[in-house]
Amino acid sequence: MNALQGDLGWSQVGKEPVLKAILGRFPYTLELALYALFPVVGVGIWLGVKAAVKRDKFLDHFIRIVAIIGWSFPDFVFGLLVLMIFYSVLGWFPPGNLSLWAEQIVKSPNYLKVTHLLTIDALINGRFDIFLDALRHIVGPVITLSFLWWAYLLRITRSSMLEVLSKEYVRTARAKGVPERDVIHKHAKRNAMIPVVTVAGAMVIGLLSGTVIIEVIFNRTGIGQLAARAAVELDYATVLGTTLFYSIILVLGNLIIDILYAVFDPRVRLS
Amino acid sequence: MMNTNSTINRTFSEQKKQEVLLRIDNLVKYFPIRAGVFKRIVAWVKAVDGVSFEVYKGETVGLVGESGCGKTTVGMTLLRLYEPTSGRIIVDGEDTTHYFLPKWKAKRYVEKVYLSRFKNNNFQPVDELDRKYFEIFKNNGEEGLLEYLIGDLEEKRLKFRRDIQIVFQDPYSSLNPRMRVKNILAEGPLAHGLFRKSEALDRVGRALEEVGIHPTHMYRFPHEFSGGQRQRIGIARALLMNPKLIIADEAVAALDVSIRSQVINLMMDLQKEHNLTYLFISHDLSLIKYISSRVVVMYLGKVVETAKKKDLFEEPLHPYTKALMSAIPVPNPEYKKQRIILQGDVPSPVNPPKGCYFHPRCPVAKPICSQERPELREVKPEHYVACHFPGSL
Amino acid sequence: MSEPKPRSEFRRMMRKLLRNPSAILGFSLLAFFVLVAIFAPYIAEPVNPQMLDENGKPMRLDNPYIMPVITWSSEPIPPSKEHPFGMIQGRDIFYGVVWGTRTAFYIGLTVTLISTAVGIVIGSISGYYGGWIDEILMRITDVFLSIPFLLAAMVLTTILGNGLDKVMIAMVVFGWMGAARLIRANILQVKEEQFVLAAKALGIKDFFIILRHILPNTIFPVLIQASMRMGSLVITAAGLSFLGLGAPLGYADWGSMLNFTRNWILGTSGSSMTYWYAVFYPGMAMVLFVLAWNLVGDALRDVFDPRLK
Repeated sequence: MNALQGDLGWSQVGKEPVLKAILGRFPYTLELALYALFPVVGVGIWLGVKAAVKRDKFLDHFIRIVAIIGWSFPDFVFGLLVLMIFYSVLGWFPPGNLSLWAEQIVKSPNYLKVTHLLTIDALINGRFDIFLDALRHIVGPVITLSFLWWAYLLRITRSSMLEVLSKEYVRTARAKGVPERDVIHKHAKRNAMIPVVTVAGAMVIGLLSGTVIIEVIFNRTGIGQLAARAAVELDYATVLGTTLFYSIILVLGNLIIDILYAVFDPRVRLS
Repeated sequence: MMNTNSTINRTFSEQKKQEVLLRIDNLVKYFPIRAGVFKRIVAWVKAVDGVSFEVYKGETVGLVGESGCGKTTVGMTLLRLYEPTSGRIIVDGEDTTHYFLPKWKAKRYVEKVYLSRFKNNNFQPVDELDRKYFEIFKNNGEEGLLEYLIGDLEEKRLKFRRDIQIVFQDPYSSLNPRMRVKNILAEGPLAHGLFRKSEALDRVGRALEEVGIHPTHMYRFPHEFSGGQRQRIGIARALLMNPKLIIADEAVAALDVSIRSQVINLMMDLQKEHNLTYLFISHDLSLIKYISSRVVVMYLGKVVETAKKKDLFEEPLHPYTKALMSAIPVPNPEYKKQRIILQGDVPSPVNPPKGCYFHPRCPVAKPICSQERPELREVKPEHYVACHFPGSL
Repeated sequence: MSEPKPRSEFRRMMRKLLRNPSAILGFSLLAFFVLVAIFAPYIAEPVNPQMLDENGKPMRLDNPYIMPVITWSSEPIPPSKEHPFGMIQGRDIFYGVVWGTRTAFYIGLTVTLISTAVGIVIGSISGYYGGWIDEILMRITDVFLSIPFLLAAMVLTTILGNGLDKVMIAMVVFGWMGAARLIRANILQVKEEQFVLAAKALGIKDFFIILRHILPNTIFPVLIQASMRMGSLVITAAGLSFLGLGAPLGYADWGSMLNFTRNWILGTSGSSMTYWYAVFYPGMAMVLFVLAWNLVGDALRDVFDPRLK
């Protein structure tokens, strides 16, 4: 009952009320998921279409092999490798949210916090150095998170594209002399996107819950890390609270996807 | 089997001296259309909307109509693959409508349909079934009748399944692709204990022989047979249950014309040997003309005309029947006939037209046709028509 | 109306399967792991070299799945002739990788089998009976699906307590929905096939109709899906171990071995790849194991169910 009024109890791990702990950390998770979304959607769909068009050619096989290897990589193994290479060896992308100096500036009272997203707020404050620092810290987790999911999206796009390319209307378009470019981009791609949109729900779940392990590896203080720490320390209130929070986001996400679905599929819109 | 009373007032015609095997009484089957988040029922598809007819022992009744008129639904509901919305299905002088309901629902049905009327002091039986059940009610009381009708439901179900069998339309989907013919054929009889497992091979082999398939083929899978052979296997499956009635739902529609007549002739031979009764569901009037002894014509979930074959084909009284018949090709170039082309499409069974369902397409419709729904009435002996102006076309 | 897939095609399919290079790779990898799991006691002898019995021989371990602590130095020790994969937290990585194969099979197979079975039962009931039973079961499925799998497993393990068996229970509880939905969809399709209606008309009992007529015609995609899920299940279990929720400390489990490694990597900026072996060997074992299942699942799907390509 209390949960319905927004009272999720006291978080031992966060040393504050659960809801406050979640809301305070959520921007870090959101920022990570948002940044990961672009490479996933962009690269996944682009390569999926490419592989389908070049079906059974070298490129198709190559893309498929990379995808299935990517799909087989546990996120924490991949994350550890990224951390080892880009931090231990190269020293480019350190773990954490921000460097110490930047953290101190961000915590100061006259630093404007509009969106609570580190990179955006840095730009709003005109602190390009902090923006770069935040970016440096987020690249590693973003690579890790997106690597797994573009493979997934690629597979879906490829198979759906292949199906559409074998349809009568695509053949008709070819037969009447429509340039191959237009066949693919105007006739096939738009129709192939319909099943892709339907799996977007699974992707939102994947990206968001994928943050749990990745935040632990890269030591980012998002809600994923909060949940993981709480689980290890048997802090029920916090674990339940975060799960509830994730579920709500998931349901909202699915709702948005249903709406997107209608945009892409005129048949749904009509009825 | 039948109560002697039942035939008393039916002596005027030879046909009616025969025993009634199946009587369908005002059968209704509606399918709900659901929509919205809560899957509310927004409308009903009136697939079968008050159908009544009888099938006598040993005859072949043709149930004919366009696709979507509800003829297949009648068959499926008869077999209780669909539960009827209302109406009664009477087999061999027993009401079987409640057989496939859970016990409490079956009890409610009996109370509603029989007991509530029997308890009324002014009760007058309307048919032989009433008479029979009222007799039991009088002698054994309410409990006695309930026991008679809903006792041993499981056994009644099994008997029903043995008595009525079906041969399906599609020879490809009607046999389980992952079972050997032997098991497909033996499954039913074994479940009913019609023969022992040790006899199975022998019985299955004989059944196959009877439908013209070599008994050694019983170890094959369905895909190793042609369409016509599969249909024969489907017939053998029905036959092994020793049924009284076989419903043939477009049983030859999917076959090549050359094979069609072979299968039809086989079925007619089997009918004689096994004293079978057929309900042939088809859209093909020429097929119906060839095999059936009586014909029931359906349009949009209702029976529009029913008569003996000879009467119906010589003098169709309903404009719809006449239109259907004018579409039968006649292999005689000299023969000139007037073709009646029906205008428009079959109306939706969700929103059937007011009045006579056929009036929007009827060439001879009058104002009354759009107002009043004609009931099925006996216009000539044993010739029933649901039309305000029978024979006007 | 479509011609059902005949059984004589089985051979043709096997041939097709063996012509597919990625299928061969997948099956060989899988065979390799199976061999490693079977012969684990011979590949990595379950003895503790620190503890000798009266004859001066190393003592056998009571529980071979608990990796013996060989040295008290907790810092990772690079590969040597004695310990080809190196050591971490005083334990031999080679030993852990070999015995971890058994753990992976144990977790993956048990969870997949049970959750698929649960899914098949729920999906079959839902699809076959339809109506309000279907409605209720599918709403329950939706609720379970609306909780992210990893978090749901985390919640349940915090409630049940840590441990491998608890993780497995959690993964079964939140892992049956995919199979249930798939089998339900397939049953809805097969249910209207005429041979099912014919069986009903013959008076065959519902249980046998499902068992003899419906499941044999619907189960293939479910089994393929299950083999493809093996990989992700093993990842999830290892992920939970990695977070410290699954296998107990020192258990021969790839995920918990990587958990040891994490702290060493985080603390070593710029110091080159000192501890590469501690990530590489257990990590590679996992990747290849999951890859094997994914390749096998993919190949089976291509061959048996061209629709799903």
